[in-house]
Amino acid sequence: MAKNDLQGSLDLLVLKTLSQTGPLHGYGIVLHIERASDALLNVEEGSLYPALHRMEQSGWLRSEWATTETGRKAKYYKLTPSGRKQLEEAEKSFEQLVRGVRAVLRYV
Amino acid sequence: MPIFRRIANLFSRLRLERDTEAELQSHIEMRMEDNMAAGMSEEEARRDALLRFGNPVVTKERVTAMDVPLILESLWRDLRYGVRQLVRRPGFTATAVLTLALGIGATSAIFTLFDQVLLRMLPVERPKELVRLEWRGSFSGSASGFGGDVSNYFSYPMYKDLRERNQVFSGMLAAMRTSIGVAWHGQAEEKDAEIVSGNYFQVLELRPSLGRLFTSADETQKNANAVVVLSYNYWRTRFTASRDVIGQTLLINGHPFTIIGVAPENFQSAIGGYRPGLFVPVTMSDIAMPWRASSNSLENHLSIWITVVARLKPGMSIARAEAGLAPLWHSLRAQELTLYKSASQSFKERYAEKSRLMVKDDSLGFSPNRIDLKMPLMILMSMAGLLTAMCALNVATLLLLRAAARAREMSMRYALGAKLARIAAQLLVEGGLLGICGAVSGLVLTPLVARILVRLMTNSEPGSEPYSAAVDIRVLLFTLALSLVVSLLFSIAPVLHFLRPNLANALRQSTGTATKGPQIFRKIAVGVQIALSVLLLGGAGLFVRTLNHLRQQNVGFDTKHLVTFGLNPTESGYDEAHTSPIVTTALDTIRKVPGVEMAAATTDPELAGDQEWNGYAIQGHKHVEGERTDFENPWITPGYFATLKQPLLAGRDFTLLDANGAPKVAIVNLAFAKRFYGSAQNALGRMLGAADDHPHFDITIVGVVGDIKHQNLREDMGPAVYTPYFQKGHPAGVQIYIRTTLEPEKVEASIRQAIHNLDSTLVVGDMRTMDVQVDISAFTERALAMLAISFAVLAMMLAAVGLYGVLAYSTQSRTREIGVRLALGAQRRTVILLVVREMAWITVLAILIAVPSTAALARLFRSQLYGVTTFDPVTLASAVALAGVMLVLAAALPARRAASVNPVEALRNE
Repeated sequence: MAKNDLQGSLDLLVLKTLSQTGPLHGYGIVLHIERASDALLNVEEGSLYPALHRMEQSGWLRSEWATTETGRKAKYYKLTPSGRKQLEEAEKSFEQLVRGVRAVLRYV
Repeated sequence: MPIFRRIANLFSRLRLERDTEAELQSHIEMRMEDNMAAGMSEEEARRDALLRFGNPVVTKERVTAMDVPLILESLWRDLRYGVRQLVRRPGFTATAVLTLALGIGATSAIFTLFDQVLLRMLPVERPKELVRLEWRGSFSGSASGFGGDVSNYFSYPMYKDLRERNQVFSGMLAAMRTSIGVAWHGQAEEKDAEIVSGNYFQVLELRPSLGRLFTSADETQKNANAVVVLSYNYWRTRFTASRDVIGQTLLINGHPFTIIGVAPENFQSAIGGYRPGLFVPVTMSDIAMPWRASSNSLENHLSIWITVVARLKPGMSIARAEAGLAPLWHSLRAQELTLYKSASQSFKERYAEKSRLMVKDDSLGFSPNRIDLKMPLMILMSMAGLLTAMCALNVATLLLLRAAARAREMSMRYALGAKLARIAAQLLVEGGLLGICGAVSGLVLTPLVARILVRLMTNSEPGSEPYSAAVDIRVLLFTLALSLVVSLLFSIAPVLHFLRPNLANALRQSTGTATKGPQIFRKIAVGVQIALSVLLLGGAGLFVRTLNHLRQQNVGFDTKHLVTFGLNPTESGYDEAHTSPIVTTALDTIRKVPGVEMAAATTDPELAGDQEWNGYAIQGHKHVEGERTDFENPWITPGYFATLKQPLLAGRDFTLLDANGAPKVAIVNLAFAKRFYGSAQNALGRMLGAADDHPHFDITIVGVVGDIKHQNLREDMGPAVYTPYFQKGHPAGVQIYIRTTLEPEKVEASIRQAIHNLDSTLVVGDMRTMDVQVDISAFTERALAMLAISFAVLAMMLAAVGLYGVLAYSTQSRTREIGVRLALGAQRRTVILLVVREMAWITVLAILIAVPSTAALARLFRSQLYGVTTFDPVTLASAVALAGVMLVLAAALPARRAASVNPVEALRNE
């Protein structure tokens, strides 16, 4: 993911990931985004955790410690209903943004 | 809901940190596992994981910093850290706090008075509804007041008509101030009182502390309302706060009055800056102010003497009130006009149709003090502001030097990933701490300085100051705001310094030495300080010169060996018939006191701000429209001019034979003689008459005396008519003047004793020497000069200390260079020049800027000056010279140290 990416996209990606996969830990989120975007998007790992924490504080996510398949302890994040609502809004506004940017790019 | 979690997190910070750490650790380990699975060695895997992740410590900080309330915690940490920093350097802290305390204390003290005189509203219900009436137009008749323009005063009948017939006010009160004689349990004293309308307390919506306050029923008719309300303070001090005084009787000017109540505790008067002890109904004015009895004040339309305050009806604006009053005012004035029989057409027009009744905001209360003190207080406030700015600059310089010494600490924090905002926050917190400490110490100083200030500026005796010196909530808030602004200002310097830190350089240096930046700032700061202190010195110089001119000028009579005091027999119950005999007896008694050469009396005290005017018609002089027919008119006893040593230029003095029944005589001053007769000789034998439409010229001019300064030291008396006290229709209190052969102070006690022996109920009012009276007359100028000098000296000291600091530092840091130069054969003189040259240029530049600025600023307070121009070469030269001497002294020590550097030692040191 480019450094100067539009603010808020990270939130959207995280929320979407969790809605698609169910509970997941931070590392899993990173991997999922890479995989799902055909390695086009690269989450800056250092920025992920502050974002996760912020979203949890805002009540969009809930977290709990659980064991991974490899037997390691990790913190799993799960969407809350308010997170789901937030996702819908974020998706809508992102679609709008994309449409807008595209319109501008295609304008002759 | 999230907010609760965040606050909860605040308390479980440790847990959160541990939690985050574990989470990040697990992330890194999972990445490592995947990397190893992809074929990397363990070492490679770890490197890659960490590289991708970035600094885990920083990430952890960023995770925890997501909690908003954590800002509070970081603030708390900064605060604790700041306190530790300040405690660790007590010398620095003490210097900074003291400097700030000085500036803040002085400014808050001046604000204490400034607020009370110029800003504070009357302590009554909804003060914003209060308005004051003022009129414009022509007038001829008798006027008396207690300050301010004659247009602030109204006749009592006019007040009553306006009160009863207006549609715009919910109430209208009348007030006048005077001092009266109060006797209680056989003890008489003189006390300030307010003469008020019956509805006074109702309009102000005040409730009594005790008993009842006046109502309209206490304003029925002349001399019928012998009741009195005490002020809270007077009740507490003179009547020992006894609840039994209600219903008891005290004597006012010898007449019994019943005490009916006590005014509210926080209420002083509707007149700003006035603290009367008693309130007396307006219908009793003939007793409270016996000298006005002759003007029949309660019925006379042409005697104006009361101020009028009204409360607007709810929702009524000042403009609409003024418009609503206009028809009523014009019809009342048109009726009054019938009283003027032969006035000119233009006078009539200006009296009625063209006259105006104006409604002015009175939420602060009408106050002559405000008119007199406004300019001086503004000047003092500005001076204090400049001083505070200098203190802030000094502290900024100190902080900057210390910041430079902390360059390593700060660079280290940067290197470890601290954000500028965090470092700035910490520096601001440290600055704020200093500011608060300064403010607290300043607040200790404030009441002490304010007390001196109030006494100086209002020339009041301890215990009877018209304003309070106590720190109240308003002063507290002001001080707090001031200290915050000041600390923000001086904290910006070090923050700017760290804006672009050169990490590598700062870390490489073995010790934290100052970089160029702070040195430049410091030099500019010292330059600014020098300029400001020259400015303050110049201002102070102008006030000192003004004071000197005032005190040294010729007042027209001899002030040495002259004692004066007030004697008002009416306050002790003497009636008109017995007043002039007791004055005569008193004068005779005084003349027999050893050390007394002469004694005489006047109704119009010298250099005390008093005026007594009367209208005279001059025989043979054609009256010109618009020309004043009122002249200063003291009533004096024989020997008055001889006692004052005021020269008699022609004719004779009054004698005891010039009494009631004898032909009326007058003595005029030179200004009068020159204006109307061309010369002193020509004036003798000419006739005057009381101003009237058809004057009867029955007063013969028998003498001409020299001109003097009368009302104050600034203004000439103008044309004046002296008339014999013993021909006065309604003799009242007098001011007695005594020429002594001994030192006047030595005679005062014997005079007091003599008067007491004559009649123990007589009150000797304010006995003082004439020299003291001259000082009192110039008290505003004296106060301004003294305070301005204090400010200037403090400012100069700050500047000198600043200059010393800069020079000492540059000498120290250039010791080695100086050593080399000396070793290579440089002259000591050249070395000194090397050290002081730059600052010398800055000083010259500062002075070059300050001198014209002083002259320019002085134009703003020209009204306060006397006998000096705003560009006064003597003042400016002395200011520059004084500043020069101080600065040379400050520079001498570092320069000497530079010159005495031992080249061998300087070089060996490295």
